[in-house]
Amino acid sequence: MARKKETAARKTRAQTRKGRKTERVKRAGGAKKVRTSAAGVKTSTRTRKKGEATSAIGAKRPAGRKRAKGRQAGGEKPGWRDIPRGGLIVKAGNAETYETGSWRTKAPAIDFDRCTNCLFCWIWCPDGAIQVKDGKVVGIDLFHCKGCGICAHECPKEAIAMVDERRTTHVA
Amino acid sequence: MSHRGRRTGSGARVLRAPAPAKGTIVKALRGADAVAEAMRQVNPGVVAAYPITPQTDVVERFSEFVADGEVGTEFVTVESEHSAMSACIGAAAAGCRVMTATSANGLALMWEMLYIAASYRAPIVMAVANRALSGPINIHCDHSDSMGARDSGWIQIYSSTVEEVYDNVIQAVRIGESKDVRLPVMVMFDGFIISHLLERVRVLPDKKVQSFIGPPRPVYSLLDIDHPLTYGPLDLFDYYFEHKRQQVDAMEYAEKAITDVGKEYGQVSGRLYGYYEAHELDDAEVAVVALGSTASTIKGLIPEIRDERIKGGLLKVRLFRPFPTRDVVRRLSATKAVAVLDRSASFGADGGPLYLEVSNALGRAGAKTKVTNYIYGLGGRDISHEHIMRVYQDLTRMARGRLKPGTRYLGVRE
Amino acid sequence: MVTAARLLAGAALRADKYFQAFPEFGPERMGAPIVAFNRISSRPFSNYSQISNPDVVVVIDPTLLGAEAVIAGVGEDAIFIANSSEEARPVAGRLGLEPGQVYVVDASRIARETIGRDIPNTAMLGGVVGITEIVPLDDVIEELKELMGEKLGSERIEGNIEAIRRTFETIRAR
Repeated sequence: MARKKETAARKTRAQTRKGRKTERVKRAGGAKKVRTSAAGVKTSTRTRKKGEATSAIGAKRPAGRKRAKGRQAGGEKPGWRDIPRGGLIVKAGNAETYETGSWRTKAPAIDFDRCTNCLFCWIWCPDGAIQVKDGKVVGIDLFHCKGCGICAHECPKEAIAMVDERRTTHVA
Repeated sequence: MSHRGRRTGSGARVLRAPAPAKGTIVKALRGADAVAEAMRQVNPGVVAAYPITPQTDVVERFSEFVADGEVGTEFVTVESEHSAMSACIGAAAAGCRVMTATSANGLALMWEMLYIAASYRAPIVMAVANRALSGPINIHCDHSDSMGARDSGWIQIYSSTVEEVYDNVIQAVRIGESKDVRLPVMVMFDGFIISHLLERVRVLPDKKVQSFIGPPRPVYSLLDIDHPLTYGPLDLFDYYFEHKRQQVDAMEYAEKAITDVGKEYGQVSGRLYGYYEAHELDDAEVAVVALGSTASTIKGLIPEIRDERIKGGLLKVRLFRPFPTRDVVRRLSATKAVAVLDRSASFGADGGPLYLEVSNALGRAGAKTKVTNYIYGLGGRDISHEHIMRVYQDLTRMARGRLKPGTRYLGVRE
Repeated sequence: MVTAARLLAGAALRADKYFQAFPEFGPERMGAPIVAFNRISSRPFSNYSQISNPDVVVVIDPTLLGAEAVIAGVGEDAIFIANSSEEARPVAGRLGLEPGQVYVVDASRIARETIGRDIPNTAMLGGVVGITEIVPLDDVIEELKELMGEKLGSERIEGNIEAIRRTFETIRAR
């Protein structure tokens, strides 16, 4: 319950974050919206809602120096005067908005008939990608699941299998 | 020895700073003791250090203060200088006031962490007993250690007497922690020549030092759990350049901070510190640029040089980073010939590091001054009065076009 | 040796003089010859070169009196003070110095009689002060008490003070 609240709070925070950057990447078959993190890793918007992504750098312009609203031209980022000194990320919690799901080659698939809700998978998952509701495993957060397979390995009931998934949103 | 401030012209006496602070005690201290004494008075939150000749006495002395409970410092013993600087960076990130000391190969072992300290904008203060880098093995003074670190992003202050290193360590705390600066500061003092030299030092009362530096005011702290933050994320080509540009900017702010802090320290201690020191430069026909203890020796020789009817002056460089480019131009472009003394070589370059700075400054300003370079004192080789007199004599010949500028070596066996 | 230079500097501070004291830089080895230096002046000075032409040379170890190094840079005006059981004349002759330049005191004997061991360092300070009057004798003694008192204990401090006084008087009697 507490966890749910926290997620909701984070979501609200994320939605109010400024400095969202989007760019259009031309691809065969049309344009796709892509966000760019400070680390230069392009991330798909597949499972994210608009306005949730933020720069990993936590950049914030000082008051009175706000950037023009709206979509920025490709690759435009804040200048050296407008980012925290020393490369610090001064806003916590933005790992949530950073998609690690795109690194995945195989995804966990849960056999709910076998699952006893021991939550070993939830304990072991390095990315908090096991979705739990009311003490029960309900699914996988594929935006963050890297496909490491630790959950499948640790599951005492062999209720999780790593399976190929159809990926449609890989970005060049 | 205790003369400070700028001489206003030929034969002019030293500008007197405000009266010395009440409660100042004159002590007989070696350079290493003076650093430890300043550290004791600063009472930093964390010191992480590893001993190395000739810096050893600094940490030895300071660890006594820790053991005797004279400071509240957390003294972190480490297994190498790399770890010492790493621990310092961590402590600074936690919001602590941090100090350390090293020398030569110790500084070299810190190398990658030096850049990280500067790029994290961690205002660590480090005393560096200047010593030659091996090999072949040498434990004596030259400036090749700190000169090698000149582009690491640290502010670099050179001290030329025991009292100066004491004063500089205290000022460094304020300089590094200045609002728009937030950079680590190296305070250099010549290994053995200053570190093991016993001299008069006017030690300020502890309270004066404390009120001068004030409490540490970290901008960010890893221990501030209400405002969690991340140090050292991946920057790559997206942001790294911008962060480096910020560091350039910080150095520009440092210039003002150093001047302000020097003035304020003058009010507190009675000893004014400028960005550099000029001696007999107003009417000088020829001048020498030097730093470290050699600059003090030259200062002491200037009356003799004037007696030889040489219109000679001295520009003592106190800050090597940020370098006083504008001051060099302002004070030296009217002279006919300038000799720059380097206690380190820059192999394959057109002269030593100090020479390159001075030559570039005057060259870019379009000054007609002839600039020449002397490499001296490598590995602790003594620089004698005769050497210095020869430099001034060379300069008068150069001013008359009878000797060409170039890089020469003082005191090397041919 | 280094302690003696330290004591002399401390005494100079007590006399409100300007001073430097420094050892010969480098690793010290027990038993190997070592050198230490002082500069003392009633006015401020600014000199950080090594000392190559001393005004005063003090030789504490008599076995070094034949060594080339002890007379290096010693000019005609320099004063030479040696710990020796010999007279000044033969010592001067051996070193190629003028007899008037050389002062000799048997500091080792005085040290044995006062301190109980052949540690002539402090005793020689009495000789130096006796000849040069660079600092008052009392300042040397006070400095010794403060710097070494804790380490040596009152009995040995008294012995050292006695040694300093005796060399001071002996050398001035000549």
